Amino acid sequence: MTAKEVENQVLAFVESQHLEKAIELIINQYQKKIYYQVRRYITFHDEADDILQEVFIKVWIGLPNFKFESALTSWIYRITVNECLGYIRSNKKHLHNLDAQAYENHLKSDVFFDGDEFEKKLQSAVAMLPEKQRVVFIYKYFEDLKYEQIAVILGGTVGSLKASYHHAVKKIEETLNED
Amino acid sequence: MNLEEHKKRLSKNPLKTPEGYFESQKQDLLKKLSVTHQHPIKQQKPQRFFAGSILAVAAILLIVFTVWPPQNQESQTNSFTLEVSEIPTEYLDEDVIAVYYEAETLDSNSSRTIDYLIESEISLELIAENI
Repeated sequence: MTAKEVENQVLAFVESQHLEKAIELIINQYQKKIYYQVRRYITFHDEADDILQEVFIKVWIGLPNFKFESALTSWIYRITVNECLGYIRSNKKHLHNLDAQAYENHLKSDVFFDGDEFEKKLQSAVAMLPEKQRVVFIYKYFEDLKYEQIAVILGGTVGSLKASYHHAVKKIEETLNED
Repeated sequence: MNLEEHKKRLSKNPLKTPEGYFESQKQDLLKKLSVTHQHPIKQQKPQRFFAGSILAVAAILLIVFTVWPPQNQESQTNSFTLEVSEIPTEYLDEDVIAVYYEAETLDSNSSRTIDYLIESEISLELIAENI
């Protein structure tokens, strides 16, 4: 089922007041995608699990008022970004607020992270990026979204997003080449 | 290895989940949404309009009655609606009425009496001395 087909089906369920069916379809379609996006932001499984639930609760609450004027996917991704950034901002002791070395050490002891040294360095380098660069990098590099799609989710111009991505790549490569 | 090389072999996902996580998470989530987050039934537009109109009318009435409170019609009395029982009893006493009437008559006649005395050239001082 394509994203457009899912959206049409969800719209039909919402219009016929079958909201439970609509949310079930959304969970089936987006659960894994959203989970891995959240893991890229937050890294650790337990926190990602909590945030994933919050995202779907927000989708559930907002669904009857969603106008389907923008794409369903963009709306859900926007909720995801806001939840992740809100979580990091409200948790001052979160690992994103530590230095890269401390973050990497936590990754080494994480049973749900099975990456090599490069993956660990990359994940911690992404975590250390400024907010906007981090978000753009995750969508562009890991999700392979186009700048136009990212602009719909985050707002802003394609030019500014390109600049953010460029700065993010430069910083990450500097971090990776430090040793 | 740089980022470009890394991206080519990105299919290997380092992020792992507990076994059966997605299925159990989905069931938990659906249960949670249906039990603890009962969705309010979305009202149709005409119903919302009707409910909104009632609220607006109620708000206007509240303001009107607050600014101009309704007055008790029965407490408003005037001379046309006076009942006999509402008139103070001293006004119904015939002696009182007679004294009042006499006083009124004398008073209204006094100016004519003085005019007559002046015309008849009767000295007011003389009358005053004789009184």
